[in-house]
Amino acid sequence: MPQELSTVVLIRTMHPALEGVVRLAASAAERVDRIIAVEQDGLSGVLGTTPTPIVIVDVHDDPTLSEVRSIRALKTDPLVVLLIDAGWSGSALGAMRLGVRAFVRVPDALRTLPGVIDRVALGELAVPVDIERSAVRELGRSVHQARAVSEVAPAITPRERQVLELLADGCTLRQIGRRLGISSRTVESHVGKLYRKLTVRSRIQAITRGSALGLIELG
Amino acid sequence: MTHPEGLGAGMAETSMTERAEDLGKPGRRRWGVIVVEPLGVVRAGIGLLVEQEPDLEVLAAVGDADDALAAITRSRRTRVIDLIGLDLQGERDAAWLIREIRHRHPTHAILAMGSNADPTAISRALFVGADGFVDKEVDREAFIASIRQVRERETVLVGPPPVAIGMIAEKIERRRDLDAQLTAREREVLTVAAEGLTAKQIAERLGVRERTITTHLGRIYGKLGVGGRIAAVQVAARSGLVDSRPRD
Repeated sequence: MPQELSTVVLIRTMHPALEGVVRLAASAAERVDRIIAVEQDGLSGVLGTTPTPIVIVDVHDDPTLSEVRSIRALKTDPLVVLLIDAGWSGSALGAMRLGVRAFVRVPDALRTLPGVIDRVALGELAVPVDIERSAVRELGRSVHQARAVSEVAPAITPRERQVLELLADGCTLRQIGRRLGISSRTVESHVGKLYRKLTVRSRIQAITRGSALGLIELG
Repeated sequence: MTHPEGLGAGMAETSMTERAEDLGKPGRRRWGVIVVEPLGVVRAGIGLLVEQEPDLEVLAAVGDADDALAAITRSRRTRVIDLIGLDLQGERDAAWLIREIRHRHPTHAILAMGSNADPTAISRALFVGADGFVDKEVDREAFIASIRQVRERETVLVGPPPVAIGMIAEKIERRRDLDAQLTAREREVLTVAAEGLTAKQIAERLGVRERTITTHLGRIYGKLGVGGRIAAVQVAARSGLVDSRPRD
């Protein structure tokens, strides 16, 4: 792969001015052979016929990474470089898990993009220190959540989980009893045990904690 | 594997324990560091490195989990950073020790150390209670900086390439999902099953009837959507529930 030159693929969703900057920067990279711009729906065709493409995606106003997800869904696994801005609120960890190889801040793009493209072409990652930090912080949060799930979830019975779901749907104790074919006294006892296991004191806390632990999904 | 057990081990421990007593006085704002590392020379080296820092002091440098717990109990300190080598093997391995410290000494900061550790080993250490991981191959400034960072109870990952972060996150998620699916007992059965024991042997180990174990196993296979024992153990290994490294 190192000896082969890469094709840079731009997706035509960015502002024309930004596209100009990116083109200019990409042409300054050493390991780039050609630069092409495609519409989002033309991407799969290009990726299918281009060896080692580097796709540059502008996500500075898209914290959901939906575009990256759709590229990932094409199953061709191109090398993806994200253009972000200073206050980008997306998930760095999420992006890295989607196989993103590099992050470039829009204001610095002209200066840093050529070097980043060359590194990515060589199979390296180019993740700014602060982005890496924020990914590690996210990782820390997911570790804490996983530990909590692992401590709490196995203790919760399937019945208690059903009760929790119905609580989240806004059912009264009596309605829950009717749904599950048990007395509201029994429902009350389930709720008591559930609160104790979740270490909460109210329905709203139980729902919040239950969803944080992934026991229920809030629609 | 043969470790030069005597080298550094006894020496480092006596001198550092003496100093620990001497520094146990109130008023000191330094953080204590306990080094747990099976390789004597590496252990001694880490001890020396840490000792040079004005805000850190080595309370003990030991080679196994039992000595580590003894040293922690002896130190009677709350502001302690435990540096734990993931190469710690055997029944009381690094994961066991980390879990134990996390339970008994919640105020401690725990930093796992490894060299070229794979994402599964790192995710396992984090999951059982480590606050971070540092690769022993980073330079000394980065190593010391990682200790200071973990002291603030920040999640630390120093050394592994950025690509490892995503992989570790994925392992953690798998482990979470596995634990969310299985009951505590099923988790226990699966862990023992991974050692390659027969249902009968598992039953003996856990003090229940063989039938109970086969029922548990059947339920585990159903929940994990697998056809049998090997596939179930593979799922457990991929998520870091069990250690997939060969034992020596």
